[in-house]
Amino acid sequence: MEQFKPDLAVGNILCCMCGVSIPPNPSNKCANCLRTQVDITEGISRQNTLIFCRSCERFLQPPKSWITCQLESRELLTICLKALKGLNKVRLIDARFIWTEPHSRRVIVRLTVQKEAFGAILQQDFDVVYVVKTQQCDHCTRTMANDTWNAVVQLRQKVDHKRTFLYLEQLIIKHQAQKDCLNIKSFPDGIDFYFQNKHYASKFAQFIQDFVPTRMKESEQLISQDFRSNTTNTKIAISLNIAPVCRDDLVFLPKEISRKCGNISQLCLVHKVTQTIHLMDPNTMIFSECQGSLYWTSPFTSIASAADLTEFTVLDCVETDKSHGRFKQADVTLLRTRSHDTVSEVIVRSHLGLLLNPGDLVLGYDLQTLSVSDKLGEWKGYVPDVIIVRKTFPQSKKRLAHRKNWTMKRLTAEEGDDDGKRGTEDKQMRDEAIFIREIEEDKELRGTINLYKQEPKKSATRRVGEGVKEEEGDEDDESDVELIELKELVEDEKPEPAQSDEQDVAQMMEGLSVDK
Amino acid sequence: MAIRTQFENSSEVGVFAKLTSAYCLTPSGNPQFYSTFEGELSDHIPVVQATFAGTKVIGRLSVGNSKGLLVPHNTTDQELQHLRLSLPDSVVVQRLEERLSALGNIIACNDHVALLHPEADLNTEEIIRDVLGIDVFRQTIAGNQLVGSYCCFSNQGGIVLLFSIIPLFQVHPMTPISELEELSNLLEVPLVAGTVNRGSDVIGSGMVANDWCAFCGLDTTATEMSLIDKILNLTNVAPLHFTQLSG
Repeated sequence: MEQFKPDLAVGNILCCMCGVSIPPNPSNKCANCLRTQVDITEGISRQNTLIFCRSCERFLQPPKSWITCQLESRELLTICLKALKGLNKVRLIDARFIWTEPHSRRVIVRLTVQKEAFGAILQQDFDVVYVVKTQQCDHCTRTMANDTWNAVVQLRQKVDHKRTFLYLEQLIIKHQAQKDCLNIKSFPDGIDFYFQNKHYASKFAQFIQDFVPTRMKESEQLISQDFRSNTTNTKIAISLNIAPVCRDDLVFLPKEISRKCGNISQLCLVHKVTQTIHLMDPNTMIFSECQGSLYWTSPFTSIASAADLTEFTVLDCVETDKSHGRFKQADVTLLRTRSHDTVSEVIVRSHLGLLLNPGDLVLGYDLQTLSVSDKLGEWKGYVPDVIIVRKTFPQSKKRLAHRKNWTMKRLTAEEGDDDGKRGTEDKQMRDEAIFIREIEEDKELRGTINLYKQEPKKSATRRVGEGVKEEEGDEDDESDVELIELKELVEDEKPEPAQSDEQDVAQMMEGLSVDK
Repeated sequence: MAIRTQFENSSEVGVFAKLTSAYCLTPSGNPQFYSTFEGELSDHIPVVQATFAGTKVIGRLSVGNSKGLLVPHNTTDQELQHLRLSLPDSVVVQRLEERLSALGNIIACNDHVALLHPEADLNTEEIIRDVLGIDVFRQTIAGNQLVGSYCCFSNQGGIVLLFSIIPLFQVHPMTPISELEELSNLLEVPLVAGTVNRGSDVIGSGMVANDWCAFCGLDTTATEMSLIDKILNLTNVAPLHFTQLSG
């Protein structure tokens, strides 16, 4: 049986404006006529402004945040659309940038919007022009006006090298601890970090305290006082004194400390510095930790440090039965690599039994030739001829060439007082070179900081490596250091304008190439 | 030709005026509106100022053709008397007791056929048949029960020689084609879907028409005017011809 199907076709009518045949709609006008009658973009501002900070190259996202974004980027489009008034009354279909000359300081966005009018949905394209106006952001204003800091963290370590600071610098960069910092000034024995208020300063101080044993002292300076409202304006200085004992240093402990640290020998090696000082005696294989609080009860200084290390060649290595964690004791026969004596073999005990093989190079303190403190002379304990600190590797060509592949970021610090500044350039380079060697040779150390990939460049900007002894020629590849793997390196993000200056300094590091 | 006019700034001419081939009603108290009709029609048919129960919306309250006029039940005796005196003797004027008292909205007619609101009284149907002398069909237009509001048609009763009554008509624009054909067959006039007053679909309220003349709102566009002229066959007709025949 055939079913009745009603014919539901709706006839066309003529558009009441132009007479075109159209399907009936509530307004009974064709789309074109409707468009001439109604402007759905009414109420959307066509001329707008974007606020741009010239010094840090960021755009203002109202009300307060400043955002780094490229021209024609997604982020910029977000800012543009948020700045547009009246957009909530229409439905946004599409938004895209129209290319403009960057110098024109105009950004043009083409929008496609839809809106219902007289029961019909109208769609319309239109351009919105943004004029880029410059205005300094809060951060830049503060940086430009130098006297805006209210709190300073004075980081000091009274030693004759900067390696602790080089390492702390990398930690600070990795954890972005310097982001609230207004200014950084470097001084001969430390760095000052300036902050807007006490909160940021204490946060930063706390951060530093997590990595090195420090003594903190906080002091306030009264700037002005208002008796009526009972308010004061003060500047706060947090002084952080880092214990002047570093990794690989040789220390002579005061008696009470050696007693409290598990009766460790008074002459011992610092094998690691964290919040505590990790002590070790290679002869007895006693490992101990000296807490920061304990340290400051009777502070001690190192009697020899990394600069005093001498290189030795291992002739023989016989393991004993003592061990501790990764370390195994061994009797090692050494020969001074660069000795003026003809033969001067020494046999010492070392904790590096697992690492050493005949032919390896080690660094150690040569206590026979090193002039150390008088206290050691009066001491009745056992003083070995040599204390081996760590294994080292020759500066092979391959190793030097590999340095071009990675880089570190640096903080920009302006120079503080100029006193005692003369002649520190060489010292600075020496410290940096030692630091780079340590990074290359110590995988554990590398893990705590960020190294960045770098495209090798043809011309080295600057030679830093002059101070480093270079061993060239006949060493074989097997004894070479394990090169830093590519996966350990961090892909360097595009330089953020706020930090771009750090990048340039980082280039310094690449200068260690040897061109013959 | 259709003529544009407005009543007190309103383009809804059909609300305020009633036009048939035998008479024209306009509300009292608006000389300007009245004079538009008078200037165009007074040579041929009487143009009468009237009110129903004191209101001016006479186009919506009454229904009529050249044979009669039905007025709402609340029309006063005085108003009824005035109409009877003013209209030609051939036009029967009568009150209609109907719950839906806006007769202009629920009834649409020419001199031959009337469309009626489907829910109107049976009595109403009978009275229309008697007074106006025409067939009555209960209908909807595109689902709309207010047939009087959504359509406007006339006839050319005199052209019998051409064996076709060419009444003229406009229907609500949502009318499906099949319904348009059905109505066209029922009314025996050509129909077209259209609008008045710049896209308004309440055609009955937006315009009035008789066999040789139409008045529409001031907002009506040229496109709509040309459609009205074409379908109501207003372009080449001489009013004299109709009045002579009917007279």
